Amino acid sequence: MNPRPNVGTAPAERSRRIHVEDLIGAPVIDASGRRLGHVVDVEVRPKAGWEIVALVLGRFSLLDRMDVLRPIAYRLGGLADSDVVRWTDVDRFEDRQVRLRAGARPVKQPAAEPDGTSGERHEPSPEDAG
Amino acid sequence: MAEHSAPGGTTGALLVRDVIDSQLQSSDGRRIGRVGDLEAELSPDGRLRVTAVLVGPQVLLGRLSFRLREPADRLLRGRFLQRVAIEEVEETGPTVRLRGRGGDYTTGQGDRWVAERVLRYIPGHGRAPR
Repeated sequence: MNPRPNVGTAPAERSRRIHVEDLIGAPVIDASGRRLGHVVDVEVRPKAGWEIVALVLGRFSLLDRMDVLRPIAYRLGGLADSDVVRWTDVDRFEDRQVRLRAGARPVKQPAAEPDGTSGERHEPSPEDAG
Repeated sequence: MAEHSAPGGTTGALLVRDVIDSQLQSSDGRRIGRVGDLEAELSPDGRLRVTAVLVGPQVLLGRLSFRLREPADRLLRGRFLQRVAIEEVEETGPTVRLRGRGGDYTTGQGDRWVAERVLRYIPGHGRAPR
């Protein structure tokens, strides 16, 4: 079974409430203190009790959050993959900083193709026209 | 809703960025605000679960900068902060549909107050255009 992140420096005895938006934009560092990027999105599994399972990293924080870079990255290539960190690899989240466990590394994951919208797109079909 | 594969190939995950700012709609079709933020609970075992949808102006201030959250909390004293339990969410997407009817939620009360106390006195209010 994967180890779970600590709540913080205090003994992990009580639950703590956080705003998910506080996670977004937070710098992510590895166990040695090296900065790996910023959290630009958070993956949730609604069917698993709305558990947060992963953090999507970006290198440019605000620009990544505003989707300024993704369309360019798709044109030029090279930045099209997202670095993703499993929540089980997170050692702690405190002072708006995410620290990973020793040996934990982000994994590459193909980013969703940008389409200029959030959510589903409905393409007109022949049935719509008729 | 843009679905995103979680690390390890599991599916059914969604990205928080696709939920934030989505329209909240009750089961009877009333629009009762927009998702401002999500509240999550970090449990002692390290699991992080989304517990509520947050709606209100102070949530938006907190998104502009986390430093604004405390002054906004002190100033507004939570008067405009609305929480909708995540269990109430039936469907996600550009519109987040809730299980209950519009009157079951405190969100959207500001709009209702304006409609009932202000807009009703404006000539032409409530008349359908011919």
